[in-house]
Amino acid sequence: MKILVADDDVVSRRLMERLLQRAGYDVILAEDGREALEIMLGNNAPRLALLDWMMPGVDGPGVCLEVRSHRERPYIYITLLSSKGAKEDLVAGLEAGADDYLTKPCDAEELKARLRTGERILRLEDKLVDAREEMRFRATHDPLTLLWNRGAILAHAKDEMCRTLRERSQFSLLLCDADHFKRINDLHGHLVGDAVLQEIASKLSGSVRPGDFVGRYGGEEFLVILKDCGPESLLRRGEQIRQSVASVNLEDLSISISAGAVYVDEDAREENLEALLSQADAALYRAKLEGRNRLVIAEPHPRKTREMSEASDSILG
Amino acid sequence: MLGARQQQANAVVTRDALKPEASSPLDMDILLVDDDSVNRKLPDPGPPTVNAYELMDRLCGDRQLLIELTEIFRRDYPRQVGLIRQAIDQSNAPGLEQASHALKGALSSLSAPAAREIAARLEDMGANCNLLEARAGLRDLETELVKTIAALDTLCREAGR
Repeated sequence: MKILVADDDVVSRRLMERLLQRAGYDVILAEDGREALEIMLGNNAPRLALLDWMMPGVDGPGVCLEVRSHRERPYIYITLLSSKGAKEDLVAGLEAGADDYLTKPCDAEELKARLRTGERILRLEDKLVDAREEMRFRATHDPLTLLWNRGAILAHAKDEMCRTLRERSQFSLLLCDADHFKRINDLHGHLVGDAVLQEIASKLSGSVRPGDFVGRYGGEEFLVILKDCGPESLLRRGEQIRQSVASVNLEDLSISISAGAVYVDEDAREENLEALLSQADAALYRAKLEGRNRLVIAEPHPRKTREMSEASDSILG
Repeated sequence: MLGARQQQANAVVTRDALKPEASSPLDMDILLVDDDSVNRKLPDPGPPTVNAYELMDRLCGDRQLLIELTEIFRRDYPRQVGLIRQAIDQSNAPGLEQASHALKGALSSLSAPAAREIAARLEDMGANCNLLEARAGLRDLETELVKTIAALDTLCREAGR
């Protein structure tokens, strides 16, 4: 396990390095508080740190305070080392965010025992983080397809709308529906139906770009968010997605989707997400009516249509 | 000014510390009683230059590490003394506190209580912004540091036997 030793005294630093190496640690050294901070806030930071209290630049408690202010980072178990032994110093060190406190020069066996305690606490912390992440995943993902669930994909769509208005960018929504899904379920059973949904999910995920989102919107409906995709590329990208699903052959079943698409740019600021989804749904309905396994792009939103109409009127005189 | 040979002769390495395994708990008790009785009659000799038993225990008996740390200290302490002198010359109390503290840390790690005590005194002078006796303290420190190096060299040789 990696451990940081920060001490401005070279003798103490080398002594500690050797003791810890002998105990099996991978030791990283820092000569002062600033260097310690760089290491602790950098990539692959050690999870254990021994900080001298008094160092030039930033002292040990100062390093603790700064590290603890980065709450999003993995927890680092910090032990302060000092020749100070007064109770008020101990309290100040712990208040600054240190986990433990040792008086220098410290006994090797005591140091190792305390670091083992630190490792135990870090393992517990890791388990808690893993459990939290699993709960977060379960709360935001569909268990069958492992795609974003309805709540999460709608939240991403709202975020994308805000970003579009803020950055004057654009994106597209693709509402997809598995063709003849009820018939597949009735004829082949729900297990096959589930396999079809998983296969469609896999194809949709595999045909979008990093940064795009794919979610399960309802039973056999999927919502795809294509970032930075405007009207000029929506048809091409929507067709690629549709064709990727149509190429699937699962147990001699031909699988396909119909899709209704709508693009969103800053002109859609007066629209809400529900209205945009309603437009995509209407386009999907048309795709179904026109024979399925096809993509239909919704008409531009009314204001844009009005502007385009006014523009063509002025050109035509 | 003492010659190097004389300074080396004056350096104290606690006698019982070199071969602790040779002393039984009973022997230690006798030694302690013996030391106390001497202390009652003689003036306090002050802390030893290097507490060899404590140091070798800290280093887990690693002689190579002792030699390495001695060399590191021999190279580094003149710089630290220079920082202390500079702080005194500039009446820089925080600088004196910082530099003395760093040297005190090294001396603690090397179990050199006599020099450590002087460094701690200088650190206190810096912390209390009282530099009146700092120059005298620095002289004491320089004298004691020469003894410390000599004691460490002796210990390096003794530990190799």
